[in-house]
Amino acid sequence: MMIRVLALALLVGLLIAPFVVAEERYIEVSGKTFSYTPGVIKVNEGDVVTIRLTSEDVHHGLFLDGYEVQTKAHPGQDGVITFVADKPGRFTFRCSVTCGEFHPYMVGHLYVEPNSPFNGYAALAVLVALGSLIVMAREGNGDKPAKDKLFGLIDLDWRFDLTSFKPIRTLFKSRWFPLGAILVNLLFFFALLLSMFVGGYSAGNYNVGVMFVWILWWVMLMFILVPFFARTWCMVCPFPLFSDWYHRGAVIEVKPGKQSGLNKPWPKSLKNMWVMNFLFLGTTFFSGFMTVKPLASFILLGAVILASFIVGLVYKKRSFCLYMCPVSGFQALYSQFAMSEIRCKDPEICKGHTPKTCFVGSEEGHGCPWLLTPFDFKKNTYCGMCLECFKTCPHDNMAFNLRPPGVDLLVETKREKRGLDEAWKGFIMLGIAVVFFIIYQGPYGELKDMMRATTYSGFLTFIAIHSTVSLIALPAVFGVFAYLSKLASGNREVSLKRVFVNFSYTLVPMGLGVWIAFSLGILLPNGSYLLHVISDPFAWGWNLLGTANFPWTPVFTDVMGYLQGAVLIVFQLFCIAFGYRLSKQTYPESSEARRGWLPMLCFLTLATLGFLKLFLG
Amino acid sequence: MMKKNTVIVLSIVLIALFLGLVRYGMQHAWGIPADYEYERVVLKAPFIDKDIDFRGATSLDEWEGIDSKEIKLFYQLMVLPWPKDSVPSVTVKAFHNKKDIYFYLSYKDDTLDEIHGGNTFSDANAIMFPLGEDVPNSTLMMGFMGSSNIWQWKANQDREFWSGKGPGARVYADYYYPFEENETLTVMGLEHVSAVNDIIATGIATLTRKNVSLVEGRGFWIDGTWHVMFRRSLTASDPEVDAAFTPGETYSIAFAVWDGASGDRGGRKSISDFVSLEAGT
Repeated sequence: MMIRVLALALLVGLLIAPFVVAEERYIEVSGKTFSYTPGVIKVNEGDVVTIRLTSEDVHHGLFLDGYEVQTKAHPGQDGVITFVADKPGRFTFRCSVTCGEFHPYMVGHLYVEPNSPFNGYAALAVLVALGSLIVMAREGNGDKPAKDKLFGLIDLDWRFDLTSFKPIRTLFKSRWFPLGAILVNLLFFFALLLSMFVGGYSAGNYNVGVMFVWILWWVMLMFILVPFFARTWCMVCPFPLFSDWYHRGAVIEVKPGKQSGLNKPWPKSLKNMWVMNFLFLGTTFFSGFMTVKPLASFILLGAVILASFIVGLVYKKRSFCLYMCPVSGFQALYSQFAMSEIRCKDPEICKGHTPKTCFVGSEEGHGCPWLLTPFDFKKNTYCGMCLECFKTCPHDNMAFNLRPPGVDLLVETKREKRGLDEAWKGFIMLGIAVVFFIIYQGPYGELKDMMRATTYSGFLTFIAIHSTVSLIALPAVFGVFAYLSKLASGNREVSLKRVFVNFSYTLVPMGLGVWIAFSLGILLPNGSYLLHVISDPFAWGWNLLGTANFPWTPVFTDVMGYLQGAVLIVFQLFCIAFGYRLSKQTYPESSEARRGWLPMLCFLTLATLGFLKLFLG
Repeated sequence: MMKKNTVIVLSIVLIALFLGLVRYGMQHAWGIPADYEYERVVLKAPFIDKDIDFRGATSLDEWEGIDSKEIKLFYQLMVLPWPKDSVPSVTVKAFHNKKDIYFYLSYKDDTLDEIHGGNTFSDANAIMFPLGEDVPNSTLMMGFMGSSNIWQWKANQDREFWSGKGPGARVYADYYYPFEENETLTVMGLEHVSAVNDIIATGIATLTRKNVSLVEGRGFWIDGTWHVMFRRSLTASDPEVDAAFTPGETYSIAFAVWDGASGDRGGRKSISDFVSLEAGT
């Protein structure tokens, strides 16, 4: 019966489809800082669409991604665009005239139906999941391969030591590196801070500090630095420099003896990510100011620099970076996915070497400022890549390895245990991405008003929703699937906490993918503002590079949705690849691992579909 | 112990310095305030027991002996591109006879512009009376979102109304669209019932001419100077949209001047700060 109904529906659909006639559509869109009404427009492919833009307050524009058409409107002076909706999908229309602080995020969505890009990617995500089941079934029937290869291609034990090149090793052993790079970075950040300070409450998209920090730097972290080079940002970060100098009592050279300051050990109960988790989440409450108002960015960065110094006065070495820095936390978690690492080459050499100069220091360099034991750590999480261990090791036994992505997700040692703190870091990062996308890149003016605190009650509601999503809702949903995984596995020995924590590491590639997709939506439409601000960094009328009058020019917005969908699918593959391995680590029997994996595969597939819906649907 | 105290003191000093820096930044977050000494001009409108008839051969001698005030004008900054020149000032006189209130505006203008067409613009001036309790801080954009009653005299209307001559152009532009230099809106000319438009506005782009103009006005261009007179009843026929005047009370008013030869129209104009109008008893 059901089959007959479906067949009939399909037949009717096929009969009707050719008779969907293109129409002329006239739509009035009203712009008011910082949203459009209506914020969502739906038309059919082939329709001739006329949009009349009116403004209720100031000068607004409307640029339509993908169709590259735009118009502008003043109060009392409307603008009109007409185009043929010949490309299917969801397209963002955005304000093209700087109309205030939240201008880059004044957007709406045009749906040209059927939304075939979303449908295609959604089908692909389901096929990927189903395909992985076939691979899993075939693996279960055959012999175990001698080497564990990612996607059957890349040996997870493969490493290539970049310091095997002598110039690189020499550079890493020099006391001037990375200090020289830090000093250049310090100068650069000083200029950015100055621009933020003098920028006051001016529009952030015309401030070099705001643009470099929240558009370029953040995107670079998510696109390149963290996934490829782990915590290389920490290597050149200028923020803790003053604290380091104070501790060491020297700028470059190594002074023997006890370090300055109270040198208290960080409390044992807080040697995890919890403080960073809450500080980072708390920081994002103020994103509606920091990302758009130069002075707010100045306050945040200034507070981080100040806190790093004051914490450095009290606690040992890089305690601030390890356990407090808001930027450090997500780098720590996501660097587990990174394609590079610092490790000792031969543990046997280290075993015979006393004292452990990489930890206690020597005349050549300082003992690990990150309080790690470079001779035996196995995960990137807390390695700030300061390169001191290269300088202090007399046997040249440290390596800067290139490696396959995601290796650390499978690592757990007695000293580097997986934990709920890292699990929640994953949830928080994912929750922030969801909330930020909906507010920054969604068509909901009320939510934007809540985030930028036009009313206290709205702001508090935003904080409550944001916290609930990140701290409670996502973990709760994940917890249900973890429980189902335990039930499906049939294993009663493994604790639910272990199942929950182990599988939470699948959120690392997922989170990274989501953040890369989110960053594309910020960078491609708004990156051209960078050309203006680098030419006139302090808005003093300079034109250093001749690009001060370069107009706002969105790039590749016609393919942005496709890129975002592709990124999500690629990282779905990583989630599945490492998720199944984590299942095998969680459950001792391979049959249990296969059964226990199914609910988690469902979760990851549903999550991917959810994100595809968010970005494309 | 000493070391701990040093850390505490150093921390407090650094935090205080940072907070001081933030405070300074917040105080100047909208830019560095310019030193601007502004002393509000007081314009007295004394009681004088006389009428001026605007019909026929009106003599400017009627205004002899009444105190005048020179009021500085500056350009409407909210409209781009900013001009090189503006009308620098306007001389104003006022009085009332317990029935009507009169204003007299005079300013230099080398060219007589009384034809309003697609590319020629009429000379004009206006008096703005904010309505309601809360007077805006600035006269920019007609006091932003505050309500105002505006009396706008236009040379082309004066020509048509008092001289009975035709409009001189069938269509005209009366809107300045600042970012599209070649684009002007043309609209049909309206029949003028007075030389003065009696207008209500609640911010930019809301200028609405009332159906009935309660204000009379007449202008004379003599030897490169405009002399323009206004008259209206002291009482408001509709308090929601009409300015009202009570002897003994003080009101905020502002002035605007359009120089047609400079391309002034719509938002492109010279405006004054608010002036205190004291209606004498």
